[in-house]
Amino acid sequence: MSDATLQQPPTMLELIGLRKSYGQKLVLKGIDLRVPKGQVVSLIGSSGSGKSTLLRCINYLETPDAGSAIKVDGQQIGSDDPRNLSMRALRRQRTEIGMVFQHFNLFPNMTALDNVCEAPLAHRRGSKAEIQAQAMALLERVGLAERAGHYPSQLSGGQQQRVAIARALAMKPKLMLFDEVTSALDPELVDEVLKVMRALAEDGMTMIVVTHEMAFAEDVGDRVIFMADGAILEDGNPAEVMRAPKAERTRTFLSRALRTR
Amino acid sequence: MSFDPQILAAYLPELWKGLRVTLWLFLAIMGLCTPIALAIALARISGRPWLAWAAATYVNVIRSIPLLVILFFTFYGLPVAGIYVSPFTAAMIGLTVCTSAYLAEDLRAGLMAIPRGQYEAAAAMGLPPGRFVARVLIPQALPVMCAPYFTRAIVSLKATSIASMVAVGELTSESMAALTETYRAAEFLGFAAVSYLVISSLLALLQAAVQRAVRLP
Repeated sequence: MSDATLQQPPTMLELIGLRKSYGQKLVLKGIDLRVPKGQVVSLIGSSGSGKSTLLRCINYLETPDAGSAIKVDGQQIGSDDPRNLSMRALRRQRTEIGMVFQHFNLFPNMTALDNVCEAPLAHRRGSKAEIQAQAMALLERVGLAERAGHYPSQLSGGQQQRVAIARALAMKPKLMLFDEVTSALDPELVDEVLKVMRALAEDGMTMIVVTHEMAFAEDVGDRVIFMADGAILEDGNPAEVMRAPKAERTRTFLSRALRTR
Repeated sequence: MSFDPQILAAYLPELWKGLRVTLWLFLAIMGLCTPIALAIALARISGRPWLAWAAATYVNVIRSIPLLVILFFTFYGLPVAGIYVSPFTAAMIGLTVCTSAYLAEDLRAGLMAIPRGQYEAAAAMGLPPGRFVARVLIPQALPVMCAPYFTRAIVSLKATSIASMVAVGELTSESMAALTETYRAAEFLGFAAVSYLVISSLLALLQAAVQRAVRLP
């Protein structure tokens, strides 16, 4: 084994031949992807390119076609034959993966603190007091400890999204998925969410971020993947992909995206 | 047409007995229907094809048959099958079977009003289905379910009068018995109508209180 191999960080996410169809339409055309531990991957591309579907397949919110393989930290997610999928096993596997949605999807009947406590309580990850203390620490981390008793309707969009990030972190996931998390926010609220994500990346969290925030992709991402028509068209470090794209489609997309930035 | 309060007073013990039977029947129906209807509604949205199919079939069959036919079936049909029950029990079973089908659809509408994102968030967090239903789905659906639930309760209250057709001595039955003996329609039908009105009004007040209590923050 060479020194280079020894120094390589362990693989956190591995996708092998990930395919997804809706009826006759093939929306993911056999994606192969390996993400090392601690890497921040920005997924960019036009609407309908398959990037959100790819993200949602990783935690089986969308069931991939048979034959696809997804591994997080070496552990298979779902089943390569969806007919043999045990829901109980899938629920356990999903606790390893945190997900943050475009529209926050906080539970409106619970306070910010209860939202963050819900999954650890459901999975009995400690006593109620311990879980609440950990949840408060997470809310502190996203700068919302003083809003712990507020309901989602009493918070701004940016605050709701930060609570959603704290909620996703509550199960101490190995991998975080972010699905266009700033797209539904007013422009002045985007920065507070990106700041939390930036801090998370600096702490070494492995993150897959579907984003239209090109500055974030360039500054925070270790790697940028451009998707088109259900396939990875370009994959490299941010400077390579964003400053010197190889494919014409990437150039066209980036010239439009960077113009509207 | 004169109104004779004295004749009403003379029959008050029978009418009061009928009113109590109506109330018990109503409470029994709603007590049984609520969990059954909720289970049917959850089965329909469960995403499990056989469960959803069974629940949909129950709803579609039962709501296609007149309530009176179902009541006659439980009153006359159960003894044929060797099951002997009192008229009250026969009426309770028939009304429960029928009302639970309608109520299931009312509750399903409430459950379906919950945005898909809530289901996805719970799935992504790995919440078990029971906990999701109890902690997320029902608390959010309650404010939506409240008005149709109480409307169905009021409809069921009035539907208990049909139990008079299968020998249950409830309010309408006792009022009709008194009318037949005295030919005083205004007093006895008036008493029945006002009684239903009062109970329905109390249910409407309860609805307002419950709606305030379950409102989302």
